[in-house]
Amino acid sequence: MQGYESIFILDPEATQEQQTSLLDKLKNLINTHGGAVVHHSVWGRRKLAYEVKKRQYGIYHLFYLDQTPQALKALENQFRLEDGVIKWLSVAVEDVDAEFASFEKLKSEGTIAQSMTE
Amino acid sequence: MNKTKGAGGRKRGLGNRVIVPRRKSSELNKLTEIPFKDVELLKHYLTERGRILPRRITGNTAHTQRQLRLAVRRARNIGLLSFSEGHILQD
Repeated sequence: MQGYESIFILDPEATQEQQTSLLDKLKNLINTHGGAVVHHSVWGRRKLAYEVKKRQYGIYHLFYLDQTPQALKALENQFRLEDGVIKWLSVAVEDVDAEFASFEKLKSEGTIAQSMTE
Repeated sequence: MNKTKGAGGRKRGLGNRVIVPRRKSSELNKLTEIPFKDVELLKHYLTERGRILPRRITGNTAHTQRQLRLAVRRARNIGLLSFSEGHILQD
């Protein structure tokens, strides 16, 4: 098993229900492959540095995963198929808990936090 | 220029130019890992146009500069940083 940090951007124009069902679907997919979502962090709505699929904003989510490389491949394939996911990036990490903690710290410090209203 | 190391701030004539030797070091050198999600941190090492500053200006070590490059590339990929600032797309 390998630790991964998967960061993905959801379409801000999708409804709340669509987003929750999509997240559940992704989590189920990971579970069926024997992986686990160790942490799930919602970064929230942020302005994109550049337009992606005609969207100026995106809803950032982070999954901290413990799974096999094959499961990651399946997850990325699903990202590709879902219209609700506009962009994603997966990075292999050594310690998912440490990565999660440092991101939460970064988020709470407010230097990278962006208000939901913007 | 390196010969004056330690003389810190002594001016040397070089033709018409005046070179002020100074020690430089980047804050990034102290980190073990550069977080690519910390956009505000990365922005200190970019030009206004979004290009990565050379390490002769920032004082990064070769190792740090490589890590910075990786972090900036990741941040750009996920839409946290732009590839090019001020670029207008033609419709």
